[in-house]
Amino acid sequence: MNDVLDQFFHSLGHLFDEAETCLTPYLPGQEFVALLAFAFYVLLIVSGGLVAVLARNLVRATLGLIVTFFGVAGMYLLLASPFLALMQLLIYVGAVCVLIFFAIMLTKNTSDGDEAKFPKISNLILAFLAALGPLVVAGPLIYQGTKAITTRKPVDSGANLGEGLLSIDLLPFELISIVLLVAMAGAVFLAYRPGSKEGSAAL
Amino acid sequence: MLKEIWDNLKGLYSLGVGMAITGRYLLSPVETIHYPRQVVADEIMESFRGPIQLTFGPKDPAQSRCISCQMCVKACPGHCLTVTKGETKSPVVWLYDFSYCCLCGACVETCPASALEFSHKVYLVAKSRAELSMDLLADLKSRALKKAESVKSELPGSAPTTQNLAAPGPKDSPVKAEATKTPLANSDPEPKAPTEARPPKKAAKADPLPSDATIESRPKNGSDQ
Amino acid sequence: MFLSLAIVAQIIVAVLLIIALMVGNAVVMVYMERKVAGFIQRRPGPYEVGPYGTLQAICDSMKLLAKQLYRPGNVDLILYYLAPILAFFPVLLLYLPIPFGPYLTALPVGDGVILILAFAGLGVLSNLLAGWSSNNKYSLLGAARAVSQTVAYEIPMILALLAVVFLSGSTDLKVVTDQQGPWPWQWNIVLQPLAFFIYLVSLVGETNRAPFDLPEAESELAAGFHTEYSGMGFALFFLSEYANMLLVSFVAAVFFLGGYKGPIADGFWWIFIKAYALMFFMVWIRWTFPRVRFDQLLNINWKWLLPLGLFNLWLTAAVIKVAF
Repeated sequence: MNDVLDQFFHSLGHLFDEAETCLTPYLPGQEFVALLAFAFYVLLIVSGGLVAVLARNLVRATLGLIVTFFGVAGMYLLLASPFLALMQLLIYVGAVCVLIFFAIMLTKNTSDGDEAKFPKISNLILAFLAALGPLVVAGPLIYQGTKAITTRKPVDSGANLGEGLLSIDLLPFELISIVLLVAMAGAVFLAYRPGSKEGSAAL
Repeated sequence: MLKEIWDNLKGLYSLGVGMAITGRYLLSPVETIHYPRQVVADEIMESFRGPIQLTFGPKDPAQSRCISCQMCVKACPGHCLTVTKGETKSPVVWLYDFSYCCLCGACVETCPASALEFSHKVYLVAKSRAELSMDLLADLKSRALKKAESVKSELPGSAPTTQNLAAPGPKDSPVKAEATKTPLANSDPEPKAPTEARPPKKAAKADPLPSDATIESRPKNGSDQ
Repeated sequence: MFLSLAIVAQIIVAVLLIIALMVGNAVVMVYMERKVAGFIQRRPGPYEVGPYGTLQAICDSMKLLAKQLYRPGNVDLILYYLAPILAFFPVLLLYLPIPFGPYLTALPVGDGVILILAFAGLGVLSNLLAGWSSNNKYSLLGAARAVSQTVAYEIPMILALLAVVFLSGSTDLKVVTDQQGPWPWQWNIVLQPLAFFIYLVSLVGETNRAPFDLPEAESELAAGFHTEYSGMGFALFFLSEYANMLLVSFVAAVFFLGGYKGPIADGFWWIFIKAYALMFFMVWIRWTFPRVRFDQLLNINWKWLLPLGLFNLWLTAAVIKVAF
């Protein structure tokens, strides 16, 4: 049964390869597809960022942030780092944004808070100038030209990262884990009130 | 610490016991009676308080014991009874609107002649409000007729066992369900003179209660169990 | 050439088949759940529609489709309508790396596990959005509870799967399956029983399934975060819950029960049998145990499953280091 399936899929694959070689003059090349993907991710990042900054409602702003994170994950994919892209999604979208949501939901927010009002013109101008800064500095560097696609194979597989973290970069790894431990301990300490019913089982 | 672990392991074991129980239930036959393929037998419906009906008379089952004293009419909190006295004590009109009845039993308790009782009509179904206005005298007559027929035609059967809780229902019975026979349909001929005043004990065991004149008929009890 | 016509066609066909699988799964699961619930409670379950009630799910879905989409007045429209869609579509992505058969993987990535874990976080978002946008205290509480529960139970899940990844040496689901043998004593469950148990408990907690279904507790929070959804919105949440259950069952089958490998012939039927056995187990648990209180729920996770998972991981690493 499985041999039959194997042969079926192989022949199907051959069929598709032949179709591709026939259609290659008409199909977009890989570079074009990469550019298309890049444009799409840039669109995601910029639109997400605009929504995050300009939304009247904090929850919608967080949604915009999530869209931005998706765009950044796409950028990682384009940089031949699928592991990092998935980690970006796992950590930022799955954990950090949920945390932000909690912070928003459990605080009082009225519909006429600071974020709902249209900002002052002077603030707008300052924000625009602040955004221009990195653009002016990094723009020429990018413009000098980079290849659209790379022929490098992805090297950020879990095995390579693990080896690197535990041999070359062992000290930073341990330091980061200590920082995380301190952060967790601090969080527990801040929230814990001994003997009070509020501290435990809040929800 | 170890005690906690041991407690949790015992707890896990109890979870397994619980799942074994439900697993056993999963594989056992169903307990419920699957209406309309089966109906509940009359024997366990003795304490069921269905819509009220007139009791059989002492000498003539088709003649009610009611003396038209209007005590039930006054006692009913929902004002669902209408009793009209004839020239003698017996009523000529006895109307009962079940859509107002709350089955409180005040009428049954207060009747000085013990003329009212709860029926055991579990499967009463009506498709319009009009069908719930019952003429209890006609109902009494039809029940008395049925009882007379059943007493004549059945053999003395054995006492019903408690295991046969389900009698074959209308969908399963070989006898086709008769046309909708509401108590209002008053096409009964003159009630026949009763053969016996009270059925003998054995037949009473097999058919202890008057089978209810519901919309769908059921086969007689003693024979089909 | 990592993007070719063959791969694109493969993905499109796979997505269509997966949608069909999700819808078919919902139909089957609705029927199985109600029938099993009935038999456990010594009653017949659905019986009238179709032979032995098999067409009941179709009637239910037609009813849900035809229901009026009733929403309260001052909800946030975009978020309100986005939430069920966000619940449903990421689950599609999660089915892509699963090896249904030796040659039947939709998207054979090398990081299958991480893809599954990453997109499981999106389901959390949809709960939050639903709860928040319904403009309703009960929904908000239900959403907050659901999210904290889901996020909490992801961690022992990751730890249990990591232990198996340690054994297999790869995060690729196909490699994990290939390292197990056809017979039950060659499956990973024999080597990692504690991890299997941890995964089973966190499976039930992750999908908000009884006895851990306090967020959608029908008797307490008036259906929790999907209180204000009717008709198609509720159907989408419902569908995504069953699809999520099936997904984690598939992952459990791949990691602990040998995937598509079976005694007589390897193939996709084995993984389906194993996944549906786990689904049946979850339905059985639902109708056996009473609901767990919320602090007990989180206590089980943080005080028992997490230390057990870490201990299991440490033990696995130690044994691997010493023995190999």
